[in-house]
Amino acid sequence: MPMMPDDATLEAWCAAAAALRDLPIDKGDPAEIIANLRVIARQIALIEAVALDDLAEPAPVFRA
Amino acid sequence: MTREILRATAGEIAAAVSSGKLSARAVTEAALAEIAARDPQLNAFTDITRDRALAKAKILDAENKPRALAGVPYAVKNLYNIAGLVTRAGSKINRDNPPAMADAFVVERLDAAGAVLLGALDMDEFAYGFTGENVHDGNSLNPHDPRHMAGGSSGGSAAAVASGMVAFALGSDTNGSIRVPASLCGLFGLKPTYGRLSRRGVFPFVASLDHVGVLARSARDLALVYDAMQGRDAADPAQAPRAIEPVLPLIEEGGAGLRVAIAGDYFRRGGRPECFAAVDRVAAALGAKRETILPEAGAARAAAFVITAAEGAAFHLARLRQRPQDFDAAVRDRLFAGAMIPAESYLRAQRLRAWFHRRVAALFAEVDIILTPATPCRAPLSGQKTIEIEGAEVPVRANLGIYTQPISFIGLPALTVPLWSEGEVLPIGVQVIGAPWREDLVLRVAHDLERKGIARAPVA
Repeated sequence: MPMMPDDATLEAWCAAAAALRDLPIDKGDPAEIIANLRVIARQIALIEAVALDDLAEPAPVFRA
Repeated sequence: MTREILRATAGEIAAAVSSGKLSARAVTEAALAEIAARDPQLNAFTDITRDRALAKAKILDAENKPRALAGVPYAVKNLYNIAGLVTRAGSKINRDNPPAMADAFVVERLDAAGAVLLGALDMDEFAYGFTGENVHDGNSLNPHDPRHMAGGSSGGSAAAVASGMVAFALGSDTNGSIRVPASLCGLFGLKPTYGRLSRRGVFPFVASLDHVGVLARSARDLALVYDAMQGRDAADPAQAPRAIEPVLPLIEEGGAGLRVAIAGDYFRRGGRPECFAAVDRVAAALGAKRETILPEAGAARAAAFVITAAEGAAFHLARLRQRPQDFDAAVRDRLFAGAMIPAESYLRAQRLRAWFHRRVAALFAEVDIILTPATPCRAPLSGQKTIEIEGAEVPVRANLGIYTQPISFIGLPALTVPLWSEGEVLPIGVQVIGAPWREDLVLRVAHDLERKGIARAPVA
C-alpha cells in the first residue's frame, strides 16, 4: 500500500486484495471499506514516519 | 436490605458471609432481584445463570468456610467461557457454536475463592469497539444517566457494576476495553500487565494485545479479585512464567514515596478540558509536578490500530468469507479493510512496538507512576457518532481509546480511577500507569486517591 494513497488507488487496492484474498466485499459497504482503508493508510504513514534502524526487531509473539 | 447488601464492597460481603453474619443465598437473591429490577433499562446482561448461582450459594452456606470472595456476586463479559453456555463474544455468528465445556481459567479461580457467578454481559461485537453498542443484543447504557453510553467493549461489565447489580465484573482489554468503560461509568478498572493473567477460555480478538481484567467500585476490591485470579496456567502460551505476587497486603502503603509524573505532549492534546483537569486534580493530590514524555505516542497508537485491524481480520477471516452478512456491518467493514493490510506494515508496527517498549521502559528508571487521561471526554450519548474536541467534530468510536491504546500496546499495567466534578452527573477517569509487573503500585495509588476522597465509585 503506498503512503497516503488517493481514493482511486485505494479502490484499486481494495478490488485487487478482495480478489486475491477471496473476500466477499460485495456483501459489505464499499464506501465504508474504502473509508477504513483510508484511516489505515493514515496510521501506516504515522508508523513509517518513525525511523527504525535495521536491527529493530518486531515485538516477540512467540516464547519457546 | 437488598440495596444495602448491594452497595457493600466485595470485601465487605465476603467478610459478612465468611463470618456467618450473612448467607450467600441472601446475597445471591438480592443480586438476582436487583438484576430483575435494573437490567431491563440498562441492558447489561445477555445471560443470567440463576440456577448455577443459587447452587453455588447453597454449597457456600453449607460449607460455612472463610473464603476471599465468599458469596460475592459477579458476572463476566460474554467472551469468557461459562460451562454450559455458548460463548457469544457479542456476535450472532458464535451463537451457533456448542456450549462451553468448562469455565475459563480465571472463572475457575474466582469460583474456588467463593465468588458467585450471576451471568454473562453485553459487549461490542467481537470486542471491536469502544461504545458498548451491539446490534444483536442492544446497547448497554450508562447507569449514571441512561441516555448516555456505557463505553466498551466491556460495556455490560461496567453497567452491571456501576448500577450495583454485581460487586465486580470481568472485562477484557485489547486497546482500552476495560479502562474506557470504567472512565465513562465511574469505576475502578484494572488492566494488568500483558501476560500476567491466563486467557484460557476467553474468546480472542487480537492475540498479541488481549488482556483480561476487572472492574469494581473500589481499588481494594480490584486487588482482592486480581489476587484471586493470579495463577500459572500452561495452557496460555502468552502467560509469563511468574509466581503469584499478591497485591492486597501492600495496598495500604499508599502513594507516599512514589515518583509520579504527568504524561505530556500527546497526552495533553486531543481531549476536552475536563479530562486534563481530572489528571491535574490527581497529580495535585499525589504531589506530582514533573512531566514525562512517551516518545512517538501517536505513532504507537497508530501501530496498535494497525496490529488490531490486521490480527483481528486474520482471526475472523473464515467467518468473513462464510458469513459476512451476520456481522455487525461496521465491524465487518473494518475487518475487510484489516484483511488488506500488507504484511510489511504489520511487521513495521510490531517493530515499532518493541522500539516504543524500550523507550518507555527507560522512563521508569526515573518515575514509578505515569498519569494520563483515561478518555478524552465524559460519556457521549448512546448512539452519538461524533464529539467536539478542540473545535473539531471527531468520531466518538475512534477517539475514545486514544489515551489507552499506546499503553496496552506495550502491555503496561494500567488502572482507571473515577473522578466527579461538582454538579456533574457523569464521571471521567484518569489512567494510572506503572512499569511492567508493578500492579502493586497502580493499586496503591488508586487506593490512596480513594482514601483522599479524590476518586470514588458510588452506585448509580
